[in-house]
This record gives sequence, C-alpha cells and structure tokens, in this order.
Amino acid sequence: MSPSTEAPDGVARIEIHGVTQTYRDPRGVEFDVLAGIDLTVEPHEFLAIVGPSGCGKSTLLHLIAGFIPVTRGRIVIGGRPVEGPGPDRGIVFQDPALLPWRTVKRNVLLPLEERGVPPSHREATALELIRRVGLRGFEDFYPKQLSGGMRQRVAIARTLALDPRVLLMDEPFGALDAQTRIVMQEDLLDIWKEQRKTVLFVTHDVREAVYLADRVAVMTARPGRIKKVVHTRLPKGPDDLVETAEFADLCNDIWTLLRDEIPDRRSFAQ
Amino acid sequence: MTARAVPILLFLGLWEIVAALGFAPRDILPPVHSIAARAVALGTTGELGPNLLTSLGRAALGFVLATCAGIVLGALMSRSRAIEVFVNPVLALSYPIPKPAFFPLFLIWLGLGSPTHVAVIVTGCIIPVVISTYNGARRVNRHVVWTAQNFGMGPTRIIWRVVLPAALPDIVVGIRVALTLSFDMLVSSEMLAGQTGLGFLASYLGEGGDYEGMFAVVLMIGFLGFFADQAYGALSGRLLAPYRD
Amino acid sequence: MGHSVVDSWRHTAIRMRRAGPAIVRPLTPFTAVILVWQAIAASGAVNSYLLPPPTAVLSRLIHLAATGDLFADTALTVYRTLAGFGIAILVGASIGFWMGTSAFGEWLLGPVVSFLFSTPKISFLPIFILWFGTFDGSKILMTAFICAFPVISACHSGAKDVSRLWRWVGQNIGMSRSRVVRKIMIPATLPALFTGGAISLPFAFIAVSVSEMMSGGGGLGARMMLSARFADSATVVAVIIVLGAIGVALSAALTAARHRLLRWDSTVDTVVA
Repeated sequence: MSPSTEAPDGVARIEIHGVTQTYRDPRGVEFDVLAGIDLTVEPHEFLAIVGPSGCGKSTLLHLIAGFIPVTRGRIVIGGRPVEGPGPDRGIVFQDPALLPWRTVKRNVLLPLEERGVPPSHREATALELIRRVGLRGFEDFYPKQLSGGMRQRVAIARTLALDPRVLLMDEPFGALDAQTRIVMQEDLLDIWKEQRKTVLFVTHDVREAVYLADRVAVMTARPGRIKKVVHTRLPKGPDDLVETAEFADLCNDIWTLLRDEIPDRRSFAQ
Repeated sequence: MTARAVPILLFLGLWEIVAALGFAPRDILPPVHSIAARAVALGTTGELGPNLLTSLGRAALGFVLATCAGIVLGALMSRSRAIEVFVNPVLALSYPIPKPAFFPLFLIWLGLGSPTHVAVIVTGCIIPVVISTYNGARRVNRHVVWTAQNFGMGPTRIIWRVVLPAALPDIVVGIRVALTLSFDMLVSSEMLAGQTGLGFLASYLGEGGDYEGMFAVVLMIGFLGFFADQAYGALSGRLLAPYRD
Repeated sequence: MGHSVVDSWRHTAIRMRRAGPAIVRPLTPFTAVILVWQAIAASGAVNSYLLPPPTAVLSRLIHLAATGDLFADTALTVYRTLAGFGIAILVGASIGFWMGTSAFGEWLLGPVVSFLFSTPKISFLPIFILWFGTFDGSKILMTAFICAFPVISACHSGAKDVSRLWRWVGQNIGMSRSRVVRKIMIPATLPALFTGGAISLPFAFIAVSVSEMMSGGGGLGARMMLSARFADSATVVAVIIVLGAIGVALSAALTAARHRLLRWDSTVDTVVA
C-alpha cells in the first residue's frame, strides 16, 4: 500500500486528510478557515507552504501540533492520529516564546528535563545544541539580552532538544530583518541536512520557500485549500548559488500561483 | 450586569444561611436580613441621615479642593522650574509618610470637627492628582506647545487650553485614585476622633454593642465608595471618548 | 511613564550640585526644607506648640531613642506591617492567580473582588476589631485585607496575560497541566506580583498606622495619638519623620528584592518601583 509512515530513525510522515476548520466569530457567524486540506509530507522531506495572509496556514500548523481540535478531517503522524499536543511534533513559532526567567541553556534544558533525560546527559546535549545553532558562549544569557535572531536560534535549539519526529515551523523568520533572515535560512538548511527531520515550514516569502524546501505547496485565500504542489529541490553545487535561472523560474512559477490569491488592493477595506 | 450579580447573590445567600442558622454567633455575624432591617431603622430614627450628609459633604469638599489644588499645582510645576524646585522636595519627603499620620497633627492644629477631617482628606488626595497632572503635562508633545507659543498664546492660556486638555487622560486616572482615597481618609479620620459622620457612627454603634447597626453603616460606606467609583468611571469614560483611537 | 516627580527632584539636585560653588553651597532639598521650617518656627509667627522647631523635634527623637520607646514602637509597627503585607501577598497571589487561570474562579470571585476593590476598606476596621479584638490580630488582618486587593488585581491580570504561546510551548514539550502551571504560569506571573506588592506596600503602612491610632496597643500610631491628646506636637512630628524613614526603607527593600529576583524581566531596569 503506502510506503512506511515512519522511517527507522523515528522520523515520521505527516498525513493530512480532508481537514476543514470552522470558526465561530463573536457574533456567532460561522466561517471556514480551511476547506478540505489534503497533503502528505514524506519522512525526511522538507515541505514549505506559502499562502496569502489569513489563508489559514498557521491554523493548519496549530492543528497538526494538536493545540486545537480539528472540525472535520484527520491528521496522522507516523501512522498515529493526532489527539493533542506532544513532543513528537516540535513547533517553532514566529515569536520565539522563550521563557524569560531562564537562561539560554536552561531554556534548551527544559525539554530534556521533561523528557526524563538523565541529568548527566542533559547538560552535554544542551550545550551541543546551543553550539549547533551558533550560540556558543551565550549559554548564561537571558533572553532579554539577545537579539531577535539569536532568540529564534534558541527556540530552534529548544525544539530540537525534543528530538521530535516531525518539525513544524510557523513563519519562524517573519519577524526578523532581511539580512538576518537570509543568514538564518542558510543555517537552518545546514542543520536540517544533518538529521533530515520531516519539516513542514509555513512562510509568506516565496524565495525563502523555494530556497529551503523539497516541495512547495501553494494555498488559496480563505477558506484555504491546497492549490498546487511544486517540486523545488535544486541540485546544490559547491557554490550554492541561489541566483540561478532555475531558481528564478521556480520563484516566478510559484509567485504566479500565489498572486491570484492575494486580495485585490482595491478591496482593502474588506 | 445581571450575570455578574449571581456570584454576589450566592455570597449573600451563603452569609444569610451561615448567620441565620446559627453557625456563627449572632453578634459576630448578623444575618443579612437583620442588617438590612437595622439600616432602615437607622434611617427612620434620623441617626443615619445627618451623619450621611455630613460625611458626604466633607468628602466632597476635600475631594474638590484636592483636585483643584492638585491640578493647578501639577500644571504649574510642569511649566515652571522655580515652582518645581520648591514643591518637589515637599512632595518627595511626604510621599513615604502614610497620610493619615498627619491626622494627630491636624487634631492639634484644628481641633475636633470638620476642618480636621477635610484637611486629612486634602492631604491624602492632593498627591495623586499633583503627580498625575505633572506627569501628564510633561508628556505633552513639545511641538504642540511650541505651536501654541508660535500663535502668541500666553503661558496661562497655554496651560489652560493646551497642556491640561492634552494631559486629561492622565489627570482622570489620578483623580480616580483621589476619589477612592477621599473615602479612605474620610472614614479613617472620622473613626479616629470624630463626633459626627458615618465613620464616627460605625465605631460608635460598635462600641455600644449595636453590631447590626455597625455592619449596616460599614456596608453603607462600602456602597457609597463603590457607586462613587462606578459613577466616576462612567463619566470619565464619556469625557475621554474623544481621546480613544 | 515619563519623568516622575522623584526623578525630577533628583535631576534638580544634580543640576544644583553641578552648578558649583558659584551658587550657595548645594543645599539638597532636605536641608532647604529644614532651614525654612526653622526660620518659620524661630520667627515666632506661629505658636510653638503648633509648629515645633526642628530642634525640639530632634531632642524628642533622641529622648525616645534613649528610653528605648522608639525601638519598641518601631519594631511593633514594622512587624505588623510586614505580617499583614506577607499575608496579603500569599492570599492575594493565590486568589488572583486562580482568577487568572480559571474561568470559574474569575466568574465566582470577580464581582465580589471588584466591588470590594472600590470600597474604603478601612471602614471595615470596627468589624475586624469586633472579630479579632484590639491587639495585633485585628491590625494585621485589617492590613492584609486592605493590601490583598491590589495584589489580587495584579496577579489576576498577570496570569491572564501570560502569552498563550508559552503555555503551548509547555504542552508541545509534553508537560502536564500542573507542570505547566508550576514551571511556566507561576514564574510568568511573578513580575505582576511584584507590581501589585509595590502598590500595596504603602497601603500596608497606612492600614497599620490607622489601626494603631484607632485601637492603641503600642506602635508608632498609638504613640502619635497619645501625644496628640497632650498637644505634644514635637513628638507627633518626630514620629511622622520616623514613619517616613521606615516608608523609604521598606520601598527600597522591595525595589532591591525586585532587582534580584526579576533580573531577567525586561522592565526591571526601567521601573522606579
């Protein structure tokens, strides 16, 4: 039937079947945020979702993470249906959401403490993760002393400390300035290549999606549906140059798909 | 509004049950209905009325004086270095002192009676008004003031027509604090050494063993403070409507 | 919040100090007030029992210290203040936190709390005296009652405002609800608790003073009322000064505690608690 839902190293496949999400606004009016999402992310795959604002892409991630129940449809991770939040699906938000009363090291230690990792092992693991995200030397700093990019690195390290089966990322670089964003993208790709976890990455930035992902799914405007999925993994040469013709073509294709979904400027008042 | 009343009714119901069924001695916790009855009785015998009016009068007078003086002082301090240098130390020094502590001093200066009570109220209430007016006035956009000066407006007009209106949101908050404080100061002072007023009446009834009456007066004072604050909230909400985005 | 009164006082003092010997040797505002006071008293314009000269006040203070009365009174007042304040923090934080994390708690207690919030709680003093007598118990509990409310309010909104994301992070990590409360919600509410505490500390002080003035039983408030009865204004003023000093010390202690415990909070450096 279908290939294994879980790779031997525990990295899992994400299956989203016919997910529809309905909200009720304060006045009692019901409306669909998502309308029949069907999507599969294979183990070890990096899949990006791009869509216009308000299309429900963040909601989709929250559903997969298990913070809110699905109105209709099914979400299955590694063969097991989602029934609530859990460490098998690590999530990184746009807001790093670090615990401000804990230092960098202790923030990364938190999942290790909760997972029951033996104390002797914890420290070493945390330090290694901090080094991996490029923050060696900052272990005893408080979040308030760090820049936005650095905080996001800590958030990534913390989520990696979960050793999750899948990684969910909700516009993690959306709040950073353009230069930091590019550096973070490169570093994320490096980190991902080491372990190749299954990643579902939401962004509004087409270039970012094409750069990072194996495949890019384009969502329609609300109620969100998957419009099309495009293969984007380019062979990476030693130069790793992004400004190739193929790259530009892919970006154009996806942008064309996306452009139609963005609400007309004239209907701004809506 | 009615939904919020349910927990309060629950609480009152619980009180009534505990008290009426004798779970607590009747004099320690009189049942709600007998407190209500006593309140009515106090009203009809004329013990309540005059004391109520006296207290309200003192509170009103003290509050109004403190508010006016406080606004004027705060505004002047914000615009005049000289005044600020003069008044600041007095404020800073008196800030850590609990204002009712001045009561014995006023007792010596003004004796028993309304002037003392009003003085205590003014002392307590003036500070939040001064501070909030001062802070609000200082936060006014410099360019607004410069524009007014450019128009040739004199300093008094600028304070009155530009600075104070701009600082109104801050001032309103300070006055609300002063309103609550005015009741605190009034009651403290009347209980300490009053011969008239609600605070005096409450402690007098308590000392006389009329605990239901004491509860009645205490609760009445509570309601006064509550309604005053609600009324102020509604009024200031309307006043500040143009300031909201 | 902008320039506070105390800030501008400090600025003025610094500016005056920097102005140098050209201006009359920097009188810090303390000295200025005292000199003005001495001048008025000495001029005989006001009766000496109405406005005692600073010298009389000082000698009173020394006398009180010598007899040990000063320390006994101060110790009692401070003890009652801290006890009442402590109870207010414990009870207030628990109630406020519950209200902020439980819809039921908020529904049940919300109306009663907000009603009592705007009442002059000192008016309950006769009730507290009826219930707990005229000694320490009623004073401490009255203080706790008055001070609990700012703490309840602060912890209520503090707990409620804890970012949903932090809770989600906890859930994502796999923490149970009670662990989320313990390791995330409670530390997150700590800054709000300190704010509530800073607001209610002066009230603790006021409550203790008034209840001491009202029902005796030792303490600085009682001494003031006693002196007032004998028109001994020098002692009254002396005690007022002592109260001021205690007020400053307590505030400073709270600020220091805040800086130590809330090192990580982004508002710590900017707040003039």
